[in-house]
Amino acid sequence: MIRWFRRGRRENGSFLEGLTSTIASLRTVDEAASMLLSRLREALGAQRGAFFVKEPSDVSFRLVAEVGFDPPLAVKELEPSHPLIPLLGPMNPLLMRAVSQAPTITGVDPEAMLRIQEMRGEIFAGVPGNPGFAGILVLGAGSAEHSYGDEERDLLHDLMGPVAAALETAMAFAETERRTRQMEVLHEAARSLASTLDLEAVLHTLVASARKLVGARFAALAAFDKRGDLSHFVHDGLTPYTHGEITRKPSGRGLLGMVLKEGELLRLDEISRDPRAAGFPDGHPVMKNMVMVPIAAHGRVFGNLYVTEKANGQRFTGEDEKQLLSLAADGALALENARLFHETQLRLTKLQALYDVSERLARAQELDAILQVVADRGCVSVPPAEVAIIHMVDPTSGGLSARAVAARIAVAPDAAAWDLVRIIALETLQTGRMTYIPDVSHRPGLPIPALSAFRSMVSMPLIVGDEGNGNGSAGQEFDAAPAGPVVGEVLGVLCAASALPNAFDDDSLRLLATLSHQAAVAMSKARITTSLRQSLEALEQRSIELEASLSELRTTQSQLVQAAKLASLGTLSAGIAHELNNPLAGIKLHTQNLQLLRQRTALTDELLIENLLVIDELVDKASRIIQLFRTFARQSTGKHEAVDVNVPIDEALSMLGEQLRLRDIRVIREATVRISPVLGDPNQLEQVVVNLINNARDAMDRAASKELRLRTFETGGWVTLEVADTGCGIPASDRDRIFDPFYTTKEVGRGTGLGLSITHRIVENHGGRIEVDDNQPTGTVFRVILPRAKETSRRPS
Amino acid sequence: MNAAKILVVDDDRPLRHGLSQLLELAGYEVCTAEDGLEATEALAGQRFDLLLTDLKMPRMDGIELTREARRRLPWIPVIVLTGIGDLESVQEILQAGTVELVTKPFEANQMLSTIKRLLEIAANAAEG
Repeated sequence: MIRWFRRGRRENGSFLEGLTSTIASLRTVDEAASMLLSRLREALGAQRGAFFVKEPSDVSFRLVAEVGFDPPLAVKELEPSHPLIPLLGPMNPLLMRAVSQAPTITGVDPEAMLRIQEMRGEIFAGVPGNPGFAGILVLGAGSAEHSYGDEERDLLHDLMGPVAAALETAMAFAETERRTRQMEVLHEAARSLASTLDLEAVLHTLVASARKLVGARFAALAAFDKRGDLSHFVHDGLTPYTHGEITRKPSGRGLLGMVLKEGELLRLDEISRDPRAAGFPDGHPVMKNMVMVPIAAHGRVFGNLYVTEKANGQRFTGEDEKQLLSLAADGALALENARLFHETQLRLTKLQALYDVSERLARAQELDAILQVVADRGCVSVPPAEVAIIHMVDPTSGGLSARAVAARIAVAPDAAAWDLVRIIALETLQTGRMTYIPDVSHRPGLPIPALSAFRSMVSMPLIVGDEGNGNGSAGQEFDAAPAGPVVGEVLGVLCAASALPNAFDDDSLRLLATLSHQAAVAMSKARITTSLRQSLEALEQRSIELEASLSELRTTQSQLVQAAKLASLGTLSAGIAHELNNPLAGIKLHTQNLQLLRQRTALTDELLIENLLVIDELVDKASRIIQLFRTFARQSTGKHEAVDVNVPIDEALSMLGEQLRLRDIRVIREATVRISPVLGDPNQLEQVVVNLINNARDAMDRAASKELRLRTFETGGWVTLEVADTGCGIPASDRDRIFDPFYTTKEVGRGTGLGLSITHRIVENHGGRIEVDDNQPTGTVFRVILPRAKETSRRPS
Repeated sequence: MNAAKILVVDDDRPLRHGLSQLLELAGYEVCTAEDGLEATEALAGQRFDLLLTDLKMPRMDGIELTREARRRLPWIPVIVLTGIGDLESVQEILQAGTVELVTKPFEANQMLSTIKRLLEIAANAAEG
């Protein structure tokens, strides 16, 4: 080995030339360093050698090549504090010395020193370069006897300049290439990020790009929602199995939480030594080193991006950090856009789901059809849900029965899975609250279904709120008010399940809650509808019965009206009998007198004529009374004709006058002659007058002064017929009721209570009205106001 | 013998006329009045052997008149004429004193025999 140096400068020169050109052809520092090391070892006859290089962006010297160490060197990096570094002196790298000549080195990693010191007679060569770039070359002869002397040192000294230049070239080239590749990655990432608004795609682009960008084994991204809760977690480089082993998503505490909170980057070379490493969940792959950068834009942190395990056991560099920050900046904007888009889309999906459900709710008649729609929507619109089941509470038994099932899984879940759904549904039924189980395997006491079946489950109560309840005042009009659900009553349970753990996020839960509400409303409506239908049927039945009663009543009423008329005749009968008795008695008396006179031959012509005239007069009187009686008693024809209102008054007085006279009632007529006729039924109008006179007569039974005033007059287009008495009067409080059928103040058996009711009806049928007033100083005035004939009906105001 | 004097009270003119004619034919002395008030005035001024009155009359009816007549002449026979519809008043009539009820229309002979019988009872009572 020493031979080589003694071959002379010319050989050395050509060796050097070959070496530098070889190095120049290599593209990476590692390759160049390996080549350099092996060639120098050979040339110097060294047994072992190592080459540390510090890149411009780095502070430590990284082991890039070693040869002859068995086992390989454990020291992969020489930090700035390493005792070897000062020996070289950063500004004076052209320094070589044998380790054997170096002062005693203390306070260094014993293993590192031990291995270095094994290299007895070894030689250090500082590789010069631009500020910040340097290398350390260590070559060992292997024994004290073969330690290198000044000659080798001089030669090496001569060599180091060109070696450094060659290395630097390789490094610059590698750096350029790496940068180009990174730029490509960044460019590709930017293009990819700009080309999509799909949140998932953006997230996956980000993690894949990050991993590629810095040559990491794993990359992951945690995105947070507005409240700071984890909304998405994507990763690259993890096998599905490894991912499945991660029990819970990062909770936002520890390392992840710190980055989120502070929005600052973090680089750890030995994660396990950092106390904050507690933030990683169980089952997370073992991580040695990592770089984590926040994804932030507009002062808001959307999440964090982290890469771990740099390739080839290397550490992440400051350059990696810069690149990741650049990617994260692009990513933040894309993420913000994507999130906005995603939120919009989610709302759209949700709205679409709700619209679908609402539309079908509106169309569907059958509850089960509606529930099936809701279940289907639950499955389709909530992506992680693989099964959606709606149970309904049986109102009588209180138990649950599945009414709608929707699934989008190929393999039917096993019985245990269904048992699980049922258990959770029952729990929700009991508590009346949502049950969310992120992972059934972490909940004790549950039957764990087969691996392929449900891992996470959610169960929502179907409860009717205030607004969905039709059980208002409208229902209380019926005897059997519709039995609508009580507010807060659990009508059923909607369950959704997924084979993935932690499958339901806030958005999913919200949508499921809305769907639950829809289902609850549907159930509530169905129940009300059923109840209403029953009420309706009952009402229909009652309506039929009522109609029958009504037609019966109508018959009865017309009979009653006639009966009332006849009854009012009955009250007249005493007077009528009296009036008929008198003429009949008179006729009989006079005929007998005539016979008596003839027997006694005292019948002169004069006496005969005198008695016959009396008899004639009495017969006329009797027949007139009978005629009035018959007219009044007959059924009204209902035909209207022009009537002078004075006529029914006169007719009534003819019938009742005798009674009034016998009761000491003074009758005062104030008739307007040549009054305009009214259009009406004379018989009915007479009945009106008879009724009013009868009432007046009875009202004055115990009155001190008995005066009946009958007036007719005309104002405007109206004809008024007034009946005033000086009787007991009608209290104002009773005036509303006096026209009610069967309302009477008279003692039992005396009045039918129908008189005024019939009077009122007759007057209304004639297009008129009745007014009741106090008479002065006592008594009551009834005014019947009727439209003048040939005048279009206009009610008095 | 002096003819018995009868006061006929009725508001119905033809009946008053017919009754006067009948009673005068039978030989009685007859006085008439239109109602109870007019009759009491007659009772106050003259002596009567029998009162024949209608039940229903304005101002003062047959019942009041009977009371008034009995107050003055406790023994006087009274005949009250009633209509078919007046039967509810019978109780009141009977309370007013011992009277004979005759329902209109009546037989002339029956009326005359009733008057004769009442006058005989009254005469016997006066003698006794």
